[in-house]
Amino acid sequence: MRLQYPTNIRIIRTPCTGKLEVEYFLRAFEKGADGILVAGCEEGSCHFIEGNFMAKRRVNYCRDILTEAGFEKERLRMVNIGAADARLFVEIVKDMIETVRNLGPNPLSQAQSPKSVKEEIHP
Amino acid sequence: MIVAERKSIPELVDIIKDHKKIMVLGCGTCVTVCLAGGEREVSIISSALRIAAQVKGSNFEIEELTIERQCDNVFIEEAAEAIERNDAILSLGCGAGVQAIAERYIDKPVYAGLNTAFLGILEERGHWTEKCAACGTCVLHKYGGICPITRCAKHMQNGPCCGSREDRCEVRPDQPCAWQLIYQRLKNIGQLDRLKEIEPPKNWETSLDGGCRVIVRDDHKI
Repeated sequence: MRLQYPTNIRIIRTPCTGKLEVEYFLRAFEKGADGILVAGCEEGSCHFIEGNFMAKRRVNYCRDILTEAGFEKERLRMVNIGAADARLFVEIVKDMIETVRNLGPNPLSQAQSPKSVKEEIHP
Repeated sequence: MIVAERKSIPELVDIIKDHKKIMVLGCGTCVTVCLAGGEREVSIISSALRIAAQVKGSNFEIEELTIERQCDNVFIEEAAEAIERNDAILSLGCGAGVQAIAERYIDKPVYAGLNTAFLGILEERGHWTEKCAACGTCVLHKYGGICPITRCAKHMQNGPCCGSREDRCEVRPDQPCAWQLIYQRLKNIGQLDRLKEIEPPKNWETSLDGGCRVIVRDDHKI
């Protein structure tokens, strides 16, 4: 298939989206991430039964907190993509990047480089 | 346990706006269990406050700490150094915790980050309900273990009120009628006769009337 997707994203692997906590998203934004796309398995196909549903609830809660803090909630989005659905993945990544590009850079004035987030996760 | 929920981020920003160095202090007991003021919530609220400040172009220096119990001097001591080096404390403890910290550190502003709501239990994940009004004179033994003071919208001790529809409360249709529950429960345990007894008006002196309540145990005094 050899599909291409933009190179300005960083993939961070987790065992399951259910591993993600609200504070991970908040800290990533504090460190300068312009947007976060949470890509979970399709609903009903979670290997851990309900990991992607837990992630969905946490993402929604985090979006509420970001809105309260005056930060654009559109910078955080969760989608469900089957592991074999490369075409959909590319389409969603492009759409997310377009959304973030329209919003502009992360408004946090003292935000650090996104590199530091990666360093923190894989020191 | 004591159940609380966090204040909104704009409200918290407004509360701490006059300070630059804030300590967000969590409590490892009740508010950790009800997911309002434990270590994780300290982290989330601190991040949200920093984000809210930076969006507006200002900045807070926030230190995060969670102690085992904010309502106990032994544990409050653990936070002494951290409290000293900050301008103010945003406590994520219950109302008792906030006041315990404020009494201990007389020259330090202490603010409540949570709204302490009620004494209750976890019904299911993410769902808490009130079970006890802490009225000071427990009547649960008379009503099969179901509290009419807390769970009946009219606090009726000689119910039901005749307003319930099916088994739902007329004031709160989303709630079951407490007196329906009491009847069922007494029937199940073979104590329906208890309903024939007329309960005299409740003595509310043991409740919040007349200032805070105090319990003194001489046998435990030193």
